[in-house]
Amino acid sequence: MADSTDTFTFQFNGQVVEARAGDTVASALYRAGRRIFTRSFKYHRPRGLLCMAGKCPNCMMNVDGTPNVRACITPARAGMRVKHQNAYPSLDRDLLSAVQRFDWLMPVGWYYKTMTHEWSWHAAEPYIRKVAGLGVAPEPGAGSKDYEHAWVHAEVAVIGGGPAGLQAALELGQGGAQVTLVDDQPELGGHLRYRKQAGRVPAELIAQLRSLPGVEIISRAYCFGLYEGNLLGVLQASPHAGVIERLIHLRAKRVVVATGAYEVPFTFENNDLPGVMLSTAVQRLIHLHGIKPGHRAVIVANGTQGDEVAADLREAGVEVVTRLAPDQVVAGVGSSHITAVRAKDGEFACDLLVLCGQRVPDAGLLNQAGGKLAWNEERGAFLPVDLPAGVSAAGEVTGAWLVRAATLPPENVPFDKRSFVCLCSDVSTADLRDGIREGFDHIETLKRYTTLTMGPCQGRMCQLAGIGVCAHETGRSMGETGVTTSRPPNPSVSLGALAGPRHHPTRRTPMHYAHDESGAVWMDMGEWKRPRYYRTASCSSERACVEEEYRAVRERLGLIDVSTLGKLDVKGRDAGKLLDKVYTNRFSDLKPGRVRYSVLCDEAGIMLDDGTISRLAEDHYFITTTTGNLDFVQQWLEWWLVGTGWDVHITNVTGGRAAVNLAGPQSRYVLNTLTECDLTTKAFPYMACREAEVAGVPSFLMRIGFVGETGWEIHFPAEFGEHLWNKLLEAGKAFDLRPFGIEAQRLLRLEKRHVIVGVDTDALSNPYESGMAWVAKLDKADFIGRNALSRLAQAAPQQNLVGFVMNEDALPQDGAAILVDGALAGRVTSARYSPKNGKAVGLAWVVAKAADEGTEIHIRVDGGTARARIVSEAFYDPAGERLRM
Amino acid sequence: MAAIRHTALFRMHERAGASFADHHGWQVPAYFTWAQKEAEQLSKSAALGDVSWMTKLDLKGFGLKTPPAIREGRAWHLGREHYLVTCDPTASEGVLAQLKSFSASPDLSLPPPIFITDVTSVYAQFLLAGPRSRDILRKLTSLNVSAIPNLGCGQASLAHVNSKVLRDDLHGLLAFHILVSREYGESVWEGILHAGHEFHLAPFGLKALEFLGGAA
Repeated sequence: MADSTDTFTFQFNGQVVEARAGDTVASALYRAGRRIFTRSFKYHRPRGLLCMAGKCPNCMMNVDGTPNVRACITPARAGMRVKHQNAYPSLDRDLLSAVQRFDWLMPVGWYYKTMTHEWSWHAAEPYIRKVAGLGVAPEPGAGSKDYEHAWVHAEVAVIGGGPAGLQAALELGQGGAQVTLVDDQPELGGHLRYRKQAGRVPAELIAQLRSLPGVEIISRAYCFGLYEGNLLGVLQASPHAGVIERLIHLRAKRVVVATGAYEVPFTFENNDLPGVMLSTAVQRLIHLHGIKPGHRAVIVANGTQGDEVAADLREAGVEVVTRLAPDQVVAGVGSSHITAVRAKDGEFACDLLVLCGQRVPDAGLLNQAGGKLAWNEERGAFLPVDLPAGVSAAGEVTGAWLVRAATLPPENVPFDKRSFVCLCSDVSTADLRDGIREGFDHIETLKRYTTLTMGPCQGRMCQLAGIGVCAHETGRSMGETGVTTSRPPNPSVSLGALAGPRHHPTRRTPMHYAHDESGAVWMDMGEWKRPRYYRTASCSSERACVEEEYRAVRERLGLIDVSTLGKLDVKGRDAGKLLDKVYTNRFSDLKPGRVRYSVLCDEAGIMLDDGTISRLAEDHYFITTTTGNLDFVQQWLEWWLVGTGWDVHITNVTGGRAAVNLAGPQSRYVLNTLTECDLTTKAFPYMACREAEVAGVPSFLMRIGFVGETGWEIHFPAEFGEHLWNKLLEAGKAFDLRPFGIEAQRLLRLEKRHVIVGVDTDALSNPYESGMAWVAKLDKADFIGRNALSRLAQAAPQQNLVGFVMNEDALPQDGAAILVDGALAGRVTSARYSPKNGKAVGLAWVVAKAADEGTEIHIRVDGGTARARIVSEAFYDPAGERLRM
Repeated sequence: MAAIRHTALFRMHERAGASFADHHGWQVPAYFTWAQKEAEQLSKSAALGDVSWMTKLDLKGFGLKTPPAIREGRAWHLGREHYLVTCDPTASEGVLAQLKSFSASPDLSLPPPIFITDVTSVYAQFLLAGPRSRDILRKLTSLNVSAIPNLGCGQASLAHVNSKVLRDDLHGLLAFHILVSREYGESVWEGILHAGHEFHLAPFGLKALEFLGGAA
């Protein structure tokens, strides 16, 4: 019970509110005299505490910036800031409540009936957003709240810490099972905590349970979903300081659902007035928080719960005016709070109307697991049946001990716009009747048409009453009418909790911080961080820096970090056989010490990836893939390996190897100062590879040239990343070496017309149309895509990947449209300003008839068009002489 | 002079104020605060160390139908005919020699029974040790860590990154080696420290391991 000696304060709408240890936000506010907690969704009707159990929508507030927090189950903490929602200017005087005078303008299915044109919605939306709703989403990035995830595995998960859950957990735990017990309350005991007349919280039982080594108890956590394979979604509120919520993925071999039953209200006019409260809410206020809930109470009850709550009220000093049977109640009286209740035989003044409503099994999880809900006339409830293997129910959720509180379907339904079935969205009995008369007489269509059971309470308060109304109107029985389907998440889960901690994996190359020190401007490539270009004292803009880097490579030398390349080590006697099978080029005849370029095609001849493959030994190859395709290529190779019985072993060594490309006419001189390897073209020709030490680091050198200059791609152990990078910079200083980034590399390769698979090609590109016919070795025995490629080799191309050079000073954007004779004829894939040509150059897909050398095309640039012509050769060193120097 | 080896976390350790020591050519943190404190944190709750310097060998081949018998190292069963061997750098030569002796095929018509790839550089390797290490791991991975016995291992996404979790208890204390591809090193290290915040998880250096070894 809330301790009266230990007090603290928090803020509500800027006012200081005193709370006691054990208080929830709602109990502290109630003690302080607050009776209106929310304003309803549509009509802005005042709403007060109804369930005190987190089952209804009546107490949702903004707590420390988080909207829609259920105040009745959120523990009060010192210094927290609580605000009301959806009312202007205040909860007590909400001007927006004028809306309810126009309820006759808002028939059921209002949106469908009024928003019949697009413009009507656009005109109405801003006003509707202001008037209706559920709080306001926090600004992106607001606050420093963190969410976290956790994964728990259990033999048995017991959901619910009431008497049945405790008993089940204890018996299973004593039998040696590994048990995880999930309970949504701050303390175990379930209804025994507040129903003092029903029994006592079995303290010894709880102590015994806590002492069992295989038992784990997760408190203040609710289970919002039961998914395939007994995966339970559990949300725990503030498991430790600094974390607002923890989402637990609980995987269990068996699940015992002991979620108990909850009480639902009766339907009569003004049944939503503040002061109308469920009997269990009254008991919670009295026994958990030591609050006298009112002065004069009327009890509506049919069974023994009426006696129980009457005794509790008297004990708390509340006068019990009278007790009515549910069918006696006609209406609640009052405007902002109940002042009296009108019954068939008179009116009774009161400030508290206690409803001993029907107890409904909280069987949503069982329904989600695949169990059915069958109507039980005697219990007055839908009870779970046909549970799947591995899932069982215990306690009140099975229907045991439930007593029918009123006849269902009801003999008389008070059809009135003020008799609320659904509190979440202000759906009344009259709305339901109208919906049924309009033809939505199936419970599932009625749900979708009226939004019954679709609000924050997910049908807990309204489902049974709604089915009752539907059954009454259609003349069907409760069982024939049936229940709506429970789907997770139920109850709702915040998106932050689903998203989890703000942690995004980042990949950094071994030279990351060396780039930082050289002034790298970063860009994201997938999860990788790569230098886009380097800002130095000599250049002020990106374009100037990129051009300086470009000139360094063309005229002297440059150094780029290419560690992000995917790297696969392939070993085994049949390695060549596998590569012959999946790549278009031939590799079994590649000599050790040589490198070959190839592309990977699928069965339809579409290019998937490209890269170099080096042969280190008879049974040892080394593959590089494009940065983004590593995982795919590895899986692709392993996929085609399955079932062959070949001796091939693929190891991903991407992270283990730093890689740089040293390129430019001076690269040989600089590299010579760091290695004893003979770098002359005779000893180390273009497309050769060698193992050698560079600056004392065991390295693997490949003489290849993506950027079109003499150069070496050097791969070496990642732990030497900064060491070798700095050694190369140091050795290159005399030659004015420049590190260069992605932008300069893209420009350099574009001048060479080197295609980037996935940038210049897409999911429809084959080697023939891409101008790379030479990669497909059709004379080779079967390989993936050979059939399709043979056909494509004969077919007339539909479109071609071509080079173009601008005729005027204009730079098209990647993706710009290409026009020939005024008609759409293609698109640009890459374009950059080329210092070599003095104009922009690029690659583009154009229709086959426009692909001939010299064809004039028009490209969309800045809203207008600019002239360009097709060029078939590379823009720079078409014969590739510089690569072989 | 031989080049110095840096783990993926070198710069991060520097920023955390680590004092470094040379360990088989690697620059590794000797301590962040002081060894005894780090050792106490480890044995009391949990601590995280960067042990990327440990030798790691990837073994594949038909000769691995039975586990390779290794002295001075551990062989972790990752998949069918696939093992990962971890050992101290001092032992690596001996282990390699041993493995190579198995990989010489007696029958020349068959491929070599074992293919060895040194993957020491490929993985950042962290040692998460202490009684709360399991509680931290279960905030990071869906792997059922409780089901991993000592010297057992598992592979799963951890802090959103593919990882290998190898349990190798340390002087009777729960301890897990976590291996992720090196380029993710900083990111995963940060993720683990963040998850361990509630248990006051802190990094430890080599000296703390020596301290624990001495105490045991």
